[in-house]
Amino acid sequence: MTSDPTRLLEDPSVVASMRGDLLSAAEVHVHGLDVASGLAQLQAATATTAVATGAGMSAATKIAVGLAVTVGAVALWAGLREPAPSVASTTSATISAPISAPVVGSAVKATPTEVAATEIPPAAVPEPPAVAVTPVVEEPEAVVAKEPVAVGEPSDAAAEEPATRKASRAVRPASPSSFVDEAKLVAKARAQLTNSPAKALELAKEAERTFPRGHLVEERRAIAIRALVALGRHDEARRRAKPFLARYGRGAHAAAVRRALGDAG
Amino acid sequence: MAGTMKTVRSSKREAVTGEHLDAEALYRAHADFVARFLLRLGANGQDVPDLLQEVFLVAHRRGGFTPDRAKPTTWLAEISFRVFSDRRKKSRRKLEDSDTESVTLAPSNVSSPSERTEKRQALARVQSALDSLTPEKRAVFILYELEGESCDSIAQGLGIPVGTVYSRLHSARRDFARAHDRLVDESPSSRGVGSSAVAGARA
Repeated sequence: MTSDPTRLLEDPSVVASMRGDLLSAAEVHVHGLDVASGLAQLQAATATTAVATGAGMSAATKIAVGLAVTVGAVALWAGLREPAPSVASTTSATISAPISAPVVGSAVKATPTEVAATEIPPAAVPEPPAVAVTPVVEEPEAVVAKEPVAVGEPSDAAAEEPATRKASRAVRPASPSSFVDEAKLVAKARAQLTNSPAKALELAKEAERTFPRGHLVEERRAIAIRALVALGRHDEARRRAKPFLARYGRGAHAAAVRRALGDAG
Repeated sequence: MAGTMKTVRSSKREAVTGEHLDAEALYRAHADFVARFLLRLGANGQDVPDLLQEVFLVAHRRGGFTPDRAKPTTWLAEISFRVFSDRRKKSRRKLEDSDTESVTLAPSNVSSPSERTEKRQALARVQSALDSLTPEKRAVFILYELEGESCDSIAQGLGIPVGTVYSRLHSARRDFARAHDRLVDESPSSRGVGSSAVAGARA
């Protein structure tokens, strides 16, 4: 625990005019804010927005998860360099990385929960990691803003690419403002799902183009699949649902996708 | 005055709860704090409801607040700072030209119209002086001097070393005092009252 300096408000050596002004500024109330309406809006938005899956993990757990992902990725990389990678080597890579398989979404040097947002896929999917995710160890930085960066997410179009190609992609920083814009775009797509699935699909594609490595990949892919079903493009929907459910089978949108496919017959 | 200040401080310093707080709980408890912080950072009053949504949506996406990270307020302050900075970069709207009718900061504990006027002038001076600071220094100054947060909590919330908090605070105090001095000199009602003596923060 450190000893903080005396606040200006409480420091008698500070001239009265400044202390008086600061006191007035400290004793304000917020006028014109409709808290109930804002809360209702937030509830509506959060009802359909996925939460970071690893929320609440301890720092040690987050570090361990990050390390495990890297170990798995490195092991896979080593395995892929073998002329004929054996099943055993892939298996050992998977075992050494508890969250294994198609780990793609994460943020490097962002916030703990953004790191924790790394997807935890179904255990039964023995696919190799698609992208190596750098582990994040909490360390101080010299700026206030922690920018959302380096989300190693492949594009929807590339979702079915061989893992080796995906693994070769460099992790690039995302734009600082990307999350807010992405969330708005995906929310628009979601809103169109019922009445205008074609528009929803178009917006989902736009989100894919604009934010290929965004934070809401799972949701936009789910919207696209549901839109395809609604448009009667069932084969395409099923084709895209397969890798989606393999990756996000336990996610917040899996049930909706399964239901849509079930309804499609 | 000291008693009053203590009351202000204690009412705003909330103990760190031991429970996980989801976005809704955070909104209920801290929407006012976030709105105050955004307005003091320089957000347009009409943008505040929208910015609030974005702040708490990010909080939701992060899985809510868990007690091992700073305090809810300083944790939200970091998100607010990011959201505000993003918006500012995009809109490039001059804050001075903005219409601040929507959400505003109003003086409390006012007993007469003249006192209200005086307090509004005081708020305007403080905001102008805050606007003269860099955003990073402004954020630290607001949290420490006006919201009563500790340097440790600010450091944890913003993800910076506590030494950086001290140095920013020290520099912010110096800049704030200079700006405030000028504003007081320009203000007819406060003419003759200077504010050169400012205790420095520990560097």
